[in-house]
Amino acid sequence: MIEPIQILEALETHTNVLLYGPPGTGKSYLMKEVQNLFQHKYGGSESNQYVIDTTAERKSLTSQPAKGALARWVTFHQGYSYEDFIIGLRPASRTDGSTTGGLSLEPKEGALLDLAARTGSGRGLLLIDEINRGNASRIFGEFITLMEADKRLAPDGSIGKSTVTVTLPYIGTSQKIDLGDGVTISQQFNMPRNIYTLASMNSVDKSVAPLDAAIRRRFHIINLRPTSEDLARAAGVNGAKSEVAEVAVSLLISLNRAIGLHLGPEYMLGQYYLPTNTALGSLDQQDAEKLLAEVWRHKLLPQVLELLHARPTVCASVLRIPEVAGKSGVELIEPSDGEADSGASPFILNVASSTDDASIYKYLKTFKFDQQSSESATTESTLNVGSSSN
Amino acid sequence: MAIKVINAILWRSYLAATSSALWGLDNSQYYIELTGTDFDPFFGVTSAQSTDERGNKAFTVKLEDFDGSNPTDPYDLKVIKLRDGVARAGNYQVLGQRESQAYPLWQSKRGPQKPYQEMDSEERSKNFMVVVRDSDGLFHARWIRPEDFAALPQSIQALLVSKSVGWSEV
Repeated sequence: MIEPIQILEALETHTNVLLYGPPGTGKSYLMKEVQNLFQHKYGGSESNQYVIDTTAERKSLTSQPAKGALARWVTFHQGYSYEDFIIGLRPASRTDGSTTGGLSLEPKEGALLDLAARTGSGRGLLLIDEINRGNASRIFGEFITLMEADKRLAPDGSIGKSTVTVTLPYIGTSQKIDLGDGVTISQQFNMPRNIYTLASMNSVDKSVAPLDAAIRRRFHIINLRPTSEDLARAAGVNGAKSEVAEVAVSLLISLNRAIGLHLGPEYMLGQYYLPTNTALGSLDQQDAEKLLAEVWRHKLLPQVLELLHARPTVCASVLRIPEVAGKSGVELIEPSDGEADSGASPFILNVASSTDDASIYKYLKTFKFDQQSSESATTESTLNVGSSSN
Repeated sequence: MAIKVINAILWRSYLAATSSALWGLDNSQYYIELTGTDFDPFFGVTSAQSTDERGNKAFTVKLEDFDGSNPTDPYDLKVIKLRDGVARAGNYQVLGQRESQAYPLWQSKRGPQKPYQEMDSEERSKNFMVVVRDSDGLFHARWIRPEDFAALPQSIQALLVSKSVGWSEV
């Protein structure tokens, strides 16, 4: 299992890090933990400076995060744009005195530009969740060049031989964006050295928007995959009452092996598919069986069916339907010869919601047996792919 | 969202007299009184400030517009400092703070949720009128309710409970 401190160290070495892995492997959780570590290490989470949010009536007075360690969290999506991230225009009341009333368009800094300007000689951490859900190359624009550390200002803030200066759009040559507290943004912009980027990408969603090769090249990629250690920790197999937890771990290992073989490791199910608030290993047997049955009905089974929906016979095999006939909460419906001749196809029927907890648990226990019997035929390293980085 | 660094805060705890003005419970109470401290440095008042017809120092504090939900226009807070030789000399009075004439964010229900007399002691102790001065020398005002108080940085909480009325650089 990769620890937040390892990711922080990777950031310090490589500047930009991408967490890449299947859903449920804790990418967002790790990002938040890295943010906490970053702010603790480089200036604490709060400073002695107080601020007022002029748009908030309630809870408007707070501490300003330490200037030595600023962080911004953004989530990319289809509507997220260069104007949100770098710089755009927004309407503002005319104040130049030459006209009365009316609106004009004024440059407005985006999240990255704001962070870079405010960071100054301190350190800034940009966290981008779901980086592939937006059009990353359009969102970054010319700032993709500035993602490389050697294209930025020198560590002492001076312009080095390889520093790239970009000309920001929307700002006139003599115009400045005033961020307050003496911080301004001019048309000619250089990126400070100590801006770090931690992004996440769901390996299953790569078809949403494959990450541009130029952007991918600028990130140090850490692959996250559910290991048996991660699963055991999430399930609480070291608890006093661990039978159900062990069944849950065996179930996920077995499913992940099958999913990896049929679809590829990027589709495996992470440890966060297991209950996160209450570890199974901490519950009484009956409560744990009931909880695992609920997880199966509403999280694991729907995901497996979705992943293999186009391959019902493979899905039936993965779910062991022929072997446990009628006890699993799922049924394989196959057409007769006549129906097949007319073009009918087999399908999986999900009846888990009408199957009782005891039957589901009895069915799930068969995966424990399956995993134990298959261990002689496959090694731990091929069954569970550990965290790795490249 | 506009975040402004603040460098000074003035507070006034919720008392029966303040409640009477904001809720219109007493026809003679139309101001909020600030006592016991020289507030001139907070407001940036100079000796050149004008006086009213009774000889009290009079000045206006311009509160910035509130640009959140249910926004308000800039508001002129009219303040007098009582002259020597009268009762409560040296005290400051924030005038015109009666019901709908009061600064909108301090008005009854939008600021304090209940009159002072209807609150228990715990609730009374967590309601404050505050004015802050930002790093550009501009003024903003809020009403602090118990839920706002709980969210304040601890050092600001400590300031507000240190005495019933005062100001401090932060």
